[in-house]
Amino acid sequence: MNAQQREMLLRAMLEELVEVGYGDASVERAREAAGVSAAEFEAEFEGKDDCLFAAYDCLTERVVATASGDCDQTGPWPARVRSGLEALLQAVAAYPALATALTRSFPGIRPAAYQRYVDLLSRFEPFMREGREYSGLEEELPGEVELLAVGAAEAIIFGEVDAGRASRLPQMLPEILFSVLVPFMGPDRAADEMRSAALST
Amino acid sequence: MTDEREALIEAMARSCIDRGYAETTIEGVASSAGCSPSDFHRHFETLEECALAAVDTILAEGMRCVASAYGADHSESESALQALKAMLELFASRPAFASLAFIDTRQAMPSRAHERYRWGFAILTAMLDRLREGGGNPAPPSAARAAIGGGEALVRRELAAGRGDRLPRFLPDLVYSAAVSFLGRREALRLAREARALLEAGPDDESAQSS
Repeated sequence: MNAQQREMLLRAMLEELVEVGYGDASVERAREAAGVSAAEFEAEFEGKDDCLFAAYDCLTERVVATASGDCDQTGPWPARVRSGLEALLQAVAAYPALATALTRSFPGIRPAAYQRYVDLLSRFEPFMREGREYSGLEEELPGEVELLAVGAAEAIIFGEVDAGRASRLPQMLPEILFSVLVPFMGPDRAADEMRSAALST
Repeated sequence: MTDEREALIEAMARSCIDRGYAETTIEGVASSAGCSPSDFHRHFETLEECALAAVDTILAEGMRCVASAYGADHSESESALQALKAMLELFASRPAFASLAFIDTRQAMPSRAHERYRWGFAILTAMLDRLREGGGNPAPPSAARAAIGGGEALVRRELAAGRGDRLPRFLPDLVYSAAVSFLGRREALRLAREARALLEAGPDDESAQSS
């Protein structure tokens, strides 16, 4: 299979998972949607699980790249968090089925799959580590403040995707930004950033 | 009869932590509880019903922790701190049930159990939102949801890694996360220090005094 077919196959597999659940997700249907033969599939994947895990890994790489790539490397930390978050929310809103696969369907398969989701969240922590320096409080802040900030954004994104309102997420950028920044900057300065994001969205 | 039902509920929780709800079966749960699938069906019609009973067990125990921490002789913040501490100790002692409540109901379970996750989340959010009542607070409407979510991500990470026993040590982090949006950094850091002092006083402090 060529790169485009592979991409289509991985995506179709995640869509199967969201639509019919893990037990009924069909490799055959995903293969047909991507125009991939059984032999081509078997040459690359050991089976349904192998393909699903590859699809999820590919998706999470893209999510991390989206959030970090759009981050202007030269601006002040809060502005960079804002552009990364904005890119992420737009991507989630544009692909609601993939967002469901990302946050709920795949991590629900079994503990090993859930661990992938935990790992994904931890990959955002380095972006937050700069916030600790930016805060001026450094070591005074609790040891897990980076994950607390990532988890704050995740809770809102998960809740909206789960309620079928992923399309609303880009509008929620200002308040999500507040919750990511507040552990580092406190409510007053985080609210300034929230208001400035609201003016430009 | 009650013992068998409890054994099945325990086995259900253990199976969820070992292989997840999606791959849990009636046969597996029955066998690890030391009984047969027909014994299972004397207590529960479906797997989901047994899972709901397990979720309700930990929810009820959690509510009991919160209720006993709120005493008339404690201030609001002291009570909240004691409640959170008691909940973390509960989750540390019942990691399989905690994992069921925090991970499986959220990610994998059918709608009735998922609904319970949403209720639990909504109750905690409403409790936290009371801190807003000082007036003039700039935190947006979703701030309490986000603060609870931050703490939950930490709890889920530990449970998923099989480190549920470590949960109580994160009390200061969770207190900071809950307080900072509404009370500011200075007050949240003060509460986190208070939480640390409470931990250093030792888990058996109260029972040691009473014995």
